[in-house]
Amino acid sequence: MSKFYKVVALALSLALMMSFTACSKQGQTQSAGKISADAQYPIDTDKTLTYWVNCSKNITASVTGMGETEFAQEAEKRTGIDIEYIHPAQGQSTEQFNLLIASGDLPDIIEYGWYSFPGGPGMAIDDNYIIALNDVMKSHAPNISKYFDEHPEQAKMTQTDDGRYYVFPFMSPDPKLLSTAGPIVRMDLLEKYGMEAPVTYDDWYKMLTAFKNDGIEIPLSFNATNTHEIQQLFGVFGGYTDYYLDAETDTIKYGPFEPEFKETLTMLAKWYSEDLIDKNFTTTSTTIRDSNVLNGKVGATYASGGGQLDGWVLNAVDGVKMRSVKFPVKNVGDPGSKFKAMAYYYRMSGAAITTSCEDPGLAAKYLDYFYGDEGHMLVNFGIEGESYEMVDGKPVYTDKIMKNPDGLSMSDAMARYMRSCNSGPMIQDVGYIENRYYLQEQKDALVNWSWGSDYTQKYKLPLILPSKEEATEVADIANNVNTYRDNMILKFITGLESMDKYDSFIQQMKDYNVERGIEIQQAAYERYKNR
Amino acid sequence: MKIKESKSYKVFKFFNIIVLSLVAIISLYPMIYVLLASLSDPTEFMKHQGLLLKPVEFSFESYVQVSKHPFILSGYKSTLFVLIVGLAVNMLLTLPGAFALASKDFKYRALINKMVVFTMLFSGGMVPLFLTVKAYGLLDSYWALILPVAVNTFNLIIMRTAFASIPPSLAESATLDGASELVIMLKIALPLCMPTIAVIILYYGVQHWNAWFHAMLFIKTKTKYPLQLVLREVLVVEDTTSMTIGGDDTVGLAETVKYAVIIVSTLPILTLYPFLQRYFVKGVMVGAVKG
Amino acid sequence: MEVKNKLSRRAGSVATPPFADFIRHKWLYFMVAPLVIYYILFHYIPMFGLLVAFERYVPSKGIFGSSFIGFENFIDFFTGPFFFSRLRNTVVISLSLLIFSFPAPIILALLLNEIKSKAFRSVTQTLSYLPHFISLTVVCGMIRSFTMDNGVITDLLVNFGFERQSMLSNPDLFVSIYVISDIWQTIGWNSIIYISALTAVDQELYEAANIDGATKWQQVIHITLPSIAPTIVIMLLLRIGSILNVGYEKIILLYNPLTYDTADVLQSLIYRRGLQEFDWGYSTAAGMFNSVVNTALLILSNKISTKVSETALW
Repeated sequence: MSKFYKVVALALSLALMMSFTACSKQGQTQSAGKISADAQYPIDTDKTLTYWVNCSKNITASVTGMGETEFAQEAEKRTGIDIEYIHPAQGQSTEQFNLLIASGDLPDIIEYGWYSFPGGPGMAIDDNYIIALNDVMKSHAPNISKYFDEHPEQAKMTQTDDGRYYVFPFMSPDPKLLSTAGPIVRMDLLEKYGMEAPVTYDDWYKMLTAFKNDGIEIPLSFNATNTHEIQQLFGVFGGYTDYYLDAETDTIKYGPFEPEFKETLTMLAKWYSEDLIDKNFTTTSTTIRDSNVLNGKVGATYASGGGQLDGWVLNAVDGVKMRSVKFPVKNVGDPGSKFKAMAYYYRMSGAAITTSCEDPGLAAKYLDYFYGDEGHMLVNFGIEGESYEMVDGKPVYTDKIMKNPDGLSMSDAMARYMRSCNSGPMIQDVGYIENRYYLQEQKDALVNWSWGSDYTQKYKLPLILPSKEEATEVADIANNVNTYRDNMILKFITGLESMDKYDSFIQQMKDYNVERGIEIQQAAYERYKNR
Repeated sequence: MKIKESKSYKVFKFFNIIVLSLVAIISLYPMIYVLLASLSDPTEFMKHQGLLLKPVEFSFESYVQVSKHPFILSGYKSTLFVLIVGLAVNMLLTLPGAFALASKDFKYRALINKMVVFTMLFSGGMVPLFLTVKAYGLLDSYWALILPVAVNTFNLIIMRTAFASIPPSLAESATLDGASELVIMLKIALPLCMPTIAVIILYYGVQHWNAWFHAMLFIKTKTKYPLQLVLREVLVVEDTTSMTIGGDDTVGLAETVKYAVIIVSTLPILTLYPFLQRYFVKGVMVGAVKG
Repeated sequence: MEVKNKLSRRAGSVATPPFADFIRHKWLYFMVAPLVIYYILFHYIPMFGLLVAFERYVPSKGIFGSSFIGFENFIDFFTGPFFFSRLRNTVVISLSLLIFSFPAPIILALLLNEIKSKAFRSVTQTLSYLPHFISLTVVCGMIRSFTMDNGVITDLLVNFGFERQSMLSNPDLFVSIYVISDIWQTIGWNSIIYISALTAVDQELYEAANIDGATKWQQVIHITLPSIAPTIVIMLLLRIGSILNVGYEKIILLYNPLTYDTADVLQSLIYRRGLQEFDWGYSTAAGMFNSVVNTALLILSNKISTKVSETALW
């Protein structure tokens, strides 16, 4: 027996070693990008900046870190600044970020979701981790300063209440970049029944019932295994589970206290009791859902346009046609879905300069490069002639990205040349998603899902920040309420709790101090408006 | 010495074999599942549901993907180094320490035993440990993966219990012959406790093999990552803090690759057990010493 | 500096015993010294971190610079609306593990001990510990998929008259699923220690018992079990010393908001509250509460054990 094990172990390690030596030679391609015309770059310096940033799996699929990507090498060449990247272990970046902060050994630049820093980004400046960028932006970062001047609303999002900038932000200022997930239905069945794409909740009910009568195992497949997914589910069908901005009165409201919420809850409970919703919707995973969809067991679902929809279109069993539809509304003629899931223009992350940085001006110059015209193209599309070419004035990916000669998947190849496929200090170009969503079905989905986005935008809670004193209080309230609320919502839907208990449910949330939460959010909103 | 077995004992033996076979099958299945999944075609595997009895469209694709991963080989190297050096350190501290703590002649036995057990109940937490290791200058070094886990209290107690169960008469007669405590440990205690030593070698070995948390805290250079941290990077869901846009990946590829990585990172350690198993043969050691 | 003082104080207590005892047992002192140094360096010195439980901890100010707030973190933890229900869930799961999962490896070891065929025994043994090596994420993924309303396990149970349902959505089934899967994951691995203990049982005792005409059953009760009793007692004491620690990783991978009422335990509550939001003070205070309860239970059971079985942790 032990001999057998030895042989297997030996064979395995040999096989691995061989494949490694074979692979280590790839990826040395020299880039021949054009020399910058801008007088400012390349900067003549021998300084190296240290840069802490989460490294995407798509990068480590082929090289050891961001420093080895064509993107980083080209950026170094063009800006003249050497960057030493430090990556946290994937999936552990929150822990490692906190150790970084706790240990006091800060690199020059930290790219992170600074908006969500405990106590708010203002705290990160006050506690001396990072610097306020206002001065250094004015003196060393003309590109981002110009952008902020031209887009004051977006500038406001990336500030603290007292007007301090804390990051070179990651912005996605186009509705198409913000609604990349939405409802998807079995269009082949709708055609078979002679039904139109559903518009209202009633249409959905009719459609799901038709699916069920036709023997479709799971008419509506949905994951509601955590707070975020439950919120998504409600958002699609007209309710909201958290704070939002009521556009009519310009005040903050708490979703569950409003009548729409009860309507949605009642509707979903009815659907569940009629076997229209997946019985496993609180425990299932995307993997299981994928397999159900591919086997044609699912009538309708909610999923992402890149990674799910494309996979389903290409791989589903014969005859199954999964196609996007618009977010449903209550009545025909409604301007859009009030609470559909949608990201903010400012993606709540960006690159901050730390207090340990000896030359903040240099760091600012480096980061600012990506907000200028050339840098914008590099960070969004890579190197012209290598990863993209201009066709009719628009950037189009080359075959190096679409059909990578080294066998890399599209996302893995993109991660080598650009940062728009993940995140970074940049203005994300809408051309990214138009290229990335290469199937017609995906392009249609972008149109369908971004329908009515202006309307949704009005009801979205702006990127407000609670004050230092309120931060803990608001987190405490949210913790207690969310646990209770999610538990009760699922109990109501599955019928474990009857709707008669609805009033005591609302009362309990009030006892957990939600009204104080609304007050805090309202005050924060007033401060936001005055930024 | 054969004695006639009673009828009920025969019935028991029959059912015993059935029950144990069931345990073996149920325990084996997850590993089989992982192996079969890793050998399946990534896309076809996505469509599969329920039990796996053979690969879904046999394919080596996932292993090809794993072999391209830049850190698997360096992961093996780091893990092997930490395993071998770490085991040596473990043994050098645990065996003598446990022997002394088991010895009735040791005056401060009770005090140190209490001090040891206390650390199982209370610990300072992640950040203080990080700060201390940093103060000792061990950051980003393999020693940071070896020294903080030089002794496992659980294993120490197991070893101590084994030493304590040696009949005192054996040690006493050796002392009368003029043997020092060191000689008693080496010549009498260790050979008598071989089965338990095998167990703690196994426990320590597997602990080193599976360790990732300390590496996550203390190691910055990715080429020094041990295998399990590399594995974890493959297994975890991409961080949501950076708010990545849309999904990516070819459908399903990630799933089967995960399984292939598990196979690649688990098989070697499974070979450790059969080597140690020979020490579990009934009574051999006890008999040999006594005889 | 703090560090050095502590170190020399501790080391001093070992290095200056009454001289005669040291001379006589010098080897014992040498053997234990590295151990003591290890525990001081890597366990006792980092324990200054426990101070965080009494502070409003700010990383940049450090543990010694953050403001002291007394028992506020503890009060926060005890007065949270879910404290008692989560404490109850923790105790229910932990006791179920103690009753069902703790004896399982002992029984497995005893059953294996009765097998005469060496090949069968070693193969079964080797296979039984395999689940221990598969990452928790994968194991839980399998459990989730097999217990869905059309999952393999559900299908099997329906044959025995069980109602078809999504098992993990049912709060009443959570503890059973958790405990049974725990047995499956740990039975083989945890039996290793007992199997090794069984090898130490003196074979002559069985031969003598056979001559006396004792049945197999009597031999198990009077020879086998007493021989491995010290190991069992030690393992039991260690288990009691961690009675409030139900690993949150597996809980989080298996639960969902619908099953919070039975599945949410103190550790997952602390995880959501303390670790995700990096409220170090809160999570340290909560951890300290666990430690204190565990310590009390351990001291009590160690005392009982000393009286009854003469086996003890200290």
